[in-house]
Amino acid sequence: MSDAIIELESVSKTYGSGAAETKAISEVSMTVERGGWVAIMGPSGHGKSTLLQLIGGLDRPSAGRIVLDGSELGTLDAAELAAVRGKKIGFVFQFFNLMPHLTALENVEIALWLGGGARSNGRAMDLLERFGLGDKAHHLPSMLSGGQQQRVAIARALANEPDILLMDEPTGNLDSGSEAELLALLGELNKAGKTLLMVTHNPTVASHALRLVRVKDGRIEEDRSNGV
Amino acid sequence: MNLWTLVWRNLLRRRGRFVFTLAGISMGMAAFVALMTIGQGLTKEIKKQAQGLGANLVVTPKGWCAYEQISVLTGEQLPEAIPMPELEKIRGVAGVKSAIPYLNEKTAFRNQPVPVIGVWPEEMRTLQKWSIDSGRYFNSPDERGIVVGAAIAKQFKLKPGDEFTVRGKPIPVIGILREAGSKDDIATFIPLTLAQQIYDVQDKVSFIAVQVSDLEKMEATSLKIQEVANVAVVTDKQLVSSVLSIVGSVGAAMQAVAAVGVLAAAFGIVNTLLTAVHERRREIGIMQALGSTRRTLFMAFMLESGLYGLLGGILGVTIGVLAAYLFGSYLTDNAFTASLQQSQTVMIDYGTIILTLSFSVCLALFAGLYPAYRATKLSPVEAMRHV
Repeated sequence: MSDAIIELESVSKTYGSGAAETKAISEVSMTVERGGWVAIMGPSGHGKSTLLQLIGGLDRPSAGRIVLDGSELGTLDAAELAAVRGKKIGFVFQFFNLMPHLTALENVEIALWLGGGARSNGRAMDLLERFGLGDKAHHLPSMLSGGQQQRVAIARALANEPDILLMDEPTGNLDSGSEAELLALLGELNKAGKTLLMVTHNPTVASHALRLVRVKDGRIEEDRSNGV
Repeated sequence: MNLWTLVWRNLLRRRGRFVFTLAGISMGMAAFVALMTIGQGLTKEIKKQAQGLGANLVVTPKGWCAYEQISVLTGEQLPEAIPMPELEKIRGVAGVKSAIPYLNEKTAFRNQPVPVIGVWPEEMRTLQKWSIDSGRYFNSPDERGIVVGAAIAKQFKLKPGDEFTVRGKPIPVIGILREAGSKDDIATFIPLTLAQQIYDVQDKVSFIAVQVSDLEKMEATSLKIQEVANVAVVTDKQLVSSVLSIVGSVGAAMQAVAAVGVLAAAFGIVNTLLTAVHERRREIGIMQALGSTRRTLFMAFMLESGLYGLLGGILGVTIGVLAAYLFGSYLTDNAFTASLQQSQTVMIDYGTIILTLSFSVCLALFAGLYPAYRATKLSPVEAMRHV
């Protein structure tokens, strides 16, 4: 049995106050083991992305505690939280979210710089080559296909060798060919020991994960291991 | 990848906005530098001319206006208003080391106006330490001859032995003065008695330059002179400050206009950066997700702002100095500068350049504070919501 890398205890998140108060997450508790691969599914607007943002330290919960690889996020100040984001977590977004004015290589390098990890261009180039983008290193994102952009985004997320990858609809804007490639890549990363957490609408994509969590109305409705 | 690379890329990604923002700050700074450069050159020139006078006190008729005081420094024509007996009284005052009269007149030579100054040859030579470039100096206090300033000699191609005319009367050129870089270059000198005779002002002079024997007692000497003679006395410092106040009031008005320009440019930077923060809010969110601290974001915007200041300052200084050279003479066209060569009123001062660059950078950094603060206040989730 592996140890827990992500722990949530009665985590809630509310937006607004008074009559306009909306509860995005209601007392969610869950644990993700190191090396796990969890797919979070559920209808739009039911708190999937909010959950991911809270785990990633992009937002703070209104109540409850989140422990990430031994650090309780609630006790960290803004700079410490930024350091956790930079070193322990890699984010992958639906819309790739690359910096439009930086080349593929620079998009990876900026993560190396901001995460405070190894600053050599060598590492950024190695990552791009590993994902078959060596010849596109000096292209701007606008010159790359969706699949290529998402691979750059994953290279960026892996730049500082985080233990956890948090992905919000990682295949949402990919064609089926690129989607299959990405899933194969994620499988490899998971085998190599990375903990993967991905929000998805797509049951086929979700079926690749080892565990499935369904969220509805800000609560966990179902949590089961995936029979692959 | 580091902060500098990121900032430089950000700066250049909207070329049009970059150019226009830079143009704003450059123009503001250019106006600032041009006016400072011209003003300083003028001030230095005025002080130099006052030194060239070699006097501690200047005795003038009562009721002279500032324009006439300026003319003492420029060698322009002046009313002949102090009777010779007053001069004798002044020479008799204790504490007066020397009192030398000037009769500032003007003649037309080959249809050009030329200042003609009547002086006491021996006393003037001691006071001014003139040296002769060609020919010789006056042999006697009433010799019929003229000594010509270097610039005038050059302008009319005069050499010793040539004939000059003062009010139509022929006078031989006996010597050319060596170039002194002062108003003496653009004047001609004849013995006072000859000048009084030609201009028919037998016993009058324009003003008197007085050297005191003890600088400590300058004030007392000045009062004594005013007791014995019916004249006004100004110290060389008063003369300079009164001239500077005229030049300065014009300069201050121009500098106020430049300051408004600079201020508008600073608002331009604020505007550009606020737009940039708004445009880049998603990227700010991504940077935060990648581990950027608020400090890094703040620094990135401050650096971008500072670069606007530095580049705008460098461009502004260059344009300003060029403008000062090209238009300096038009901007400072007044009684004082009219008689000076254009280049003398423009002075490049490294202090001004460094001051302007620092000012430009500091102003830009100040302008960047609010936009940079706004960038750090964006929450990563909020920032990334804007896809």
